[in-house]
Amino acid sequence: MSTIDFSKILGDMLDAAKSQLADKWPAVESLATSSIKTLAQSLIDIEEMSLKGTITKEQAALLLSMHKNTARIALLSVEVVGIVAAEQAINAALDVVKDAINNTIGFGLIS
Amino acid sequence: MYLQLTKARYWLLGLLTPILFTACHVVLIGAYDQNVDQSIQQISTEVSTLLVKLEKNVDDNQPAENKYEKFRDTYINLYGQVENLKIRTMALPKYSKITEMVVLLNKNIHDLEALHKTGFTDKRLIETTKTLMETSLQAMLTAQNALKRESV
Repeated sequence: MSTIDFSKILGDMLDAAKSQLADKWPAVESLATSSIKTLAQSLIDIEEMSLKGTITKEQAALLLSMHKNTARIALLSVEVVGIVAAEQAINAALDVVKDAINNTIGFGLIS
Repeated sequence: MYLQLTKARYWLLGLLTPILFTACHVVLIGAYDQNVDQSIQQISTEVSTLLVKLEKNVDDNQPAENKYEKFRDTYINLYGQVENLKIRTMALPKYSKITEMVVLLNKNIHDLEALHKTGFTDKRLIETTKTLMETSLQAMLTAQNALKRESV
């Protein structure tokens, strides 16, 4: 039985991700939450295997290193999705300006 | 003379406005690259095959089949592919975040190899390793799909 509280660790990891992603969070919340849940569960699994003695200290350290790398990859991926969402929002706003100008002039000055 | 200058100003404004607005299309991160996407998928297939083999050997009670030496060539092949992927992403503009992911994936494969050397005889150890590797690769493929800019 793990000594780590799953809800607590999940909450802490989500808070850290929210703070890292700041204004991009709403666009990526669902994707980030799913990855973080998987990572929190892996952490519990590693601790349980260590406590039961089914893995050595060296194996636990390697799994934790993989866990850290994976968490960083997941955060980077969520960040990329957020950047693309921000880019699309900016370009959509610019398109509106472009349409407004073309409509005012009465012909397609800007394509 | 004054009239000519005023006319010239209007012409210049007319010419520059479309150029300025065309240039206003914002690109915050690099474009989708099919080669990068396919390389990640190829690596994902090979990592999954490796881990499924390990699981199957434990299920079939054939632990000797999981000896590191039997998989050494698979790791060498994986390192080659990841290195090639890194060279590709480093050459692409605005791809630093993707390159960072590739570097971390390389570290994960090194850790996977080191774990393999310690012995993969426990099913739960393999399952946890598989979850971590699959989460890494899924995240990388999710980023590639986002770069297609179809829908977010």
